[in-house]
Amino acid sequence: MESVPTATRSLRLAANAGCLHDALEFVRAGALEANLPEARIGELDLLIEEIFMNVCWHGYPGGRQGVVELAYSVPAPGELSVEIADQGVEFNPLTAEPPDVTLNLEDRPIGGLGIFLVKRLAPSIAYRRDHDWNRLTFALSAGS
Amino acid sequence: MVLLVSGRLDAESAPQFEQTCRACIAEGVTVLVVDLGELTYVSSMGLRSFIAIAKTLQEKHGALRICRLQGLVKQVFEITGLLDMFRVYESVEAALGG
Repeated sequence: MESVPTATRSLRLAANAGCLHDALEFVRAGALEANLPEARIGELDLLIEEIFMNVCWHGYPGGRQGVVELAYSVPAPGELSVEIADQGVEFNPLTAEPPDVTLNLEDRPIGGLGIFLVKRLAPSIAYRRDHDWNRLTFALSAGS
Repeated sequence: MVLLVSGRLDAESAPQFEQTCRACIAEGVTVLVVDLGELTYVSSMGLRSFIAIAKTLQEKHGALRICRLQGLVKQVFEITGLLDMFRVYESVEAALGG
């Protein structure tokens, strides 16, 4: 019997570090629905944490309150599509200059690895500006 | 000094890890062995702490020695070049031996 793709589920959260746990829980439900293996769920957690926290820290400057909208769907068994959107400052993280990961300890900056990790773990990730929303979408599959 | 880090090192727990390391350094520790055998997850916030602590120890002519990396944690260290940058060992014994 052919399986029917599930509907998109979405959740709106405050762009606040305290909501990271809720964001992870929500998307993990999608990973379970898609039957992703444990290793892929760890990567999914990492993707969500990096993107979500990036919005919390930089998306809404000056103490402005903002939102992060998460959505997922399971287009086919073993496949999970995720979108993370915010109404913060227009920012395409995918155009950020990649860090030099060959530098020694002395010359290494302390930060700057989050988006680099995202791009490496989700090569399919895409950005689009949609009216006043930043929208990042990526897909993970059981076999990827 | 050997620190065993288990569970998840993320935006929430990384500051606590860094604080613990800094407390060790304040007590005079210059060679810190961090056993990651029971660590299942690390995000960029955790990596940030490792780099910051290693820099502090280097300034004191000491070193951060990391051992027993596995799974996703090892993958993350590899992607970010930290596997080559840090002193990484297979076991606590090897790390203590330097």
